[in-house]
Amino acid sequence: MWSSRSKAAAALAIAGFLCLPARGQPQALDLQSSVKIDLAPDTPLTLVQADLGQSRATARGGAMVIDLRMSLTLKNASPRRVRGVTMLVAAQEVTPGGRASVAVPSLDVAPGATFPVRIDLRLLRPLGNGAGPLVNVGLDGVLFHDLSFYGPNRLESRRALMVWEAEAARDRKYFQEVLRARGREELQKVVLASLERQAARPRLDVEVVRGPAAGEAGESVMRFAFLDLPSAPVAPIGGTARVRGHEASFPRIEIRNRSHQAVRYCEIGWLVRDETGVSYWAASIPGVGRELAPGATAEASQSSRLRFHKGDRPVRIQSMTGFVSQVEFADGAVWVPERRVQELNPLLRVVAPSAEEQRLTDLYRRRGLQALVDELNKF
Amino acid sequence: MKRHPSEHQLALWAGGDLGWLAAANVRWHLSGCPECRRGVEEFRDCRRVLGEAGDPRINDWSKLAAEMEANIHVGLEAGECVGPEITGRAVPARWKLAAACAAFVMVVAGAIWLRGPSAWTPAPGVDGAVFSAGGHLIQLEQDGRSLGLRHEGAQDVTYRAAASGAVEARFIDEDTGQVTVQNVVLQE
Repeated sequence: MWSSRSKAAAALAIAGFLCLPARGQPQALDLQSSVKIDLAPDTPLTLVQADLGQSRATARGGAMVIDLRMSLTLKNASPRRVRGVTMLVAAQEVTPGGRASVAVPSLDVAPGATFPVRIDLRLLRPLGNGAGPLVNVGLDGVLFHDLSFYGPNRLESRRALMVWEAEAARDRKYFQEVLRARGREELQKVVLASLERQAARPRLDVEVVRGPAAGEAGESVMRFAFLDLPSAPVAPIGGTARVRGHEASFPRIEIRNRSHQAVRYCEIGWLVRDETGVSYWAASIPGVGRELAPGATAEASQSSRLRFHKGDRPVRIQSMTGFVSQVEFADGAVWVPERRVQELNPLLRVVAPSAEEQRLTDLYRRRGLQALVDELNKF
Repeated sequence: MKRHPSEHQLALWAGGDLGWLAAANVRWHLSGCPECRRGVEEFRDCRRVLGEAGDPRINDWSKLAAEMEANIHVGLEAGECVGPEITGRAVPARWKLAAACAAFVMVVAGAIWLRGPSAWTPAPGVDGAVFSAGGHLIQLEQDGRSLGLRHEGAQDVTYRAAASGAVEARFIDEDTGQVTVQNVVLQE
């Protein structure tokens, strides 16, 4: 027989056990303590609303998985139209030095108008670690219609937003010209062809391991073939990477500035072809880390190892092609390939369409031809 | 081409540095000469090994010099212990100096060969960080922790890697209709 004291102790123990959060059971996150949204007082964007909706923290073994589903509503508090924005996300305690960003290019937000930015973040960290905000969210940059820029630019957002804007202007102009010169039916055909090309474009999953790796048995040095785009301010001269099966490492590309302006940055697009002859737009090789004077040459090289998959299937590399995909001059202006060049070269058809082409064709898909025509007439 | 190409020509061929006319001749010869093809493979292997060794740099010359001096002393003392007594004509001083220099050069070369790659190893934490993109998630994994961005439900996602260490996902947000570009990067 149990004494009354024993029964009370057992009841307390059972109650205590039931009150413990079950292992693996999702816990609601406290917005105030988990996420710090930091927008400077003079920022041209103000935070209207921050919703953590379905955010959850789940214990798994000795680790905690945190799913933050943030929806921010931002207001354009400036007198200029916003063309693009990049939000910076840091979880210093989880991955020191690791940064995530969410950019929304191809916007056209009028002064005083609001727009959403969704950030779906997943963090994995040891249990019972640290105090204070887990995630810091801030603004890395805003690009306006007059190409002026605001922001700390920690992730070189200005350059990325400028490139997207240059591509947007190029592709919008193309669709506008088709509409004006050939009419609505031709525009529809062009849009349908673009949607078909987007759907048929082969895609890859990729993995990058940072840092030098020891040479592996069976590796060979493979040379890049290059597409020389005549209008590109920078020309690739030669380049190699070590290749073994579906892995490529230590890409090195020599480039020459053939323009009359100093170049601050350039990027080489990296296409790989598999054993079945299918080409993929797989990666990019960031170019020079210093200013490149007219006529000067430099080598772009990276100590990293890349692996290419398609689902679970490794994609074995049979050949590689490089092309200059973007250039930033010392004065901040950018160059992107011409649309005509992209359309004429079969290899470049595997490159993803611009953000603006994606947006315009998606607008057609969702809301029809008239909505697309109205959108093109806005600019 | 009946005569075999010189080693010099084979080495240039292996590196792709031979002029086009000479390259055409060598290519013709290689098509019918297994011996020279083996030579070319050997040159390629050498290039690969040298490439893997990277660009050796030494950060601490004084430490390296001290190690080499100690090694030479150990070698000389060991030689005195086990070597036969030298009788007859003495070895000229300049030959001793030349032998010491040769030993010094070999030790330096060995030290560079063995220690070279560690001189340019990036800081811990950055080296070995893994970025992945696929399955509606891009993420950085580092020391058993991860930082990722999800895009569940997004159609036609384009993934791209930057060889500098970053991954990107681009897609249309089904709710907002906005093009969204997610990126995960590691800043040193």
